[in-house]
Amino acid sequence: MEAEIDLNKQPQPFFIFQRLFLEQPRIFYNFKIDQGFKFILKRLFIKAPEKVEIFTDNWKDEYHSAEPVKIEFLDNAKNKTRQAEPYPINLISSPNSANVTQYFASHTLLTEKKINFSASSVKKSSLLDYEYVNGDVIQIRITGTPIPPYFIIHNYIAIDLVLQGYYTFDEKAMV
Amino acid sequence: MIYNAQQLRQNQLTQYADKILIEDTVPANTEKLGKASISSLGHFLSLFITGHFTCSKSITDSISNVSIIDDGISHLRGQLVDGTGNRKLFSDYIPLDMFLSPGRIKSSTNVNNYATVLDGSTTAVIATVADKSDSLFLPMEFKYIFAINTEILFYVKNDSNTPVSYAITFHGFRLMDKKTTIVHKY
Repeated sequence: MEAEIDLNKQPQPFFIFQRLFLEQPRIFYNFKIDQGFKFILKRLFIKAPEKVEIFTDNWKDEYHSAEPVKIEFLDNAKNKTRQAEPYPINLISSPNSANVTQYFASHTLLTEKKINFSASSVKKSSLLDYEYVNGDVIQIRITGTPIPPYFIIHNYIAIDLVLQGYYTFDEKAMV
Repeated sequence: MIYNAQQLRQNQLTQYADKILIEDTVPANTEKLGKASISSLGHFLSLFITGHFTCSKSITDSISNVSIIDDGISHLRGQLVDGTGNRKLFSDYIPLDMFLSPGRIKSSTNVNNYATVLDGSTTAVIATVADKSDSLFLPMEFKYIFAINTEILFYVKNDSNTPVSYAITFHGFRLMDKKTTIVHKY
């Protein structure tokens, strides 16, 4: 049963976006909730490449991901964890990795993390309905396989993460 | 159930389903503000958003033919702001394909005839030809009241070397407030 957003509590839709770089098998992302508000996390949209293409003027390399990236909400501050084990992202969210390619822009930009993603579409995402109280922290751990180091600098995949939710008025925080 | 005709009529006069559209083309390698006015009709209660965009890129082949192709890459990022108090509704500029459905569509200005564009050249100009558009899957939930007379501001950055267009629609209700709206009585 989905928690209804009460319009009388002045909800403010808030989309949190972060581009993460999986350079090691395990990375973390933290987002701190503003003081004075609750945050209701409704859904998660995550995108990771199933194919990475690296160009130079004369040749092209492709890497195909062997296994899906997994995501876990840790939320260590609570007494119990949100989930027992990490979920593969393609089981809880779109666009996940379906037909998603990551392009490194050019070999002339080796020193920058300048990349592009193929356009995907948002189709479905399972409902989370996680509630974070005033001042809480959304803690996420992402696990996966970085690409083999064709170039020393290009040994990562990028992951786009959107958390869709609402800031709502928190009476307890306004005392 | 017993209906109160007067109450029903009153509701009908003060709220009705409405949609607000922002449609724009963002020039190459720059940022442009797209906006829509809520107007003086009344407040606007948004419930869902949908949207689409194109994926265009300009390429030049070895004999200097310039073509605009559909490269299938997500070039646009947007930041949504409520004009009242400049309240940001996104934490950062979000790639449009991460929250809009149906998302990518074809553009009438794109050429996808690669044999002609490449003209026998061996240069690897373009990576992939991703040529499908999607149908509407998931109107994104977006419950928010935009106040009367405010503006919805949508700042969009384009990292392509050619203009790229988009459209975003807010689906919801127009809510008329007696204090701020004159309801005409005939």
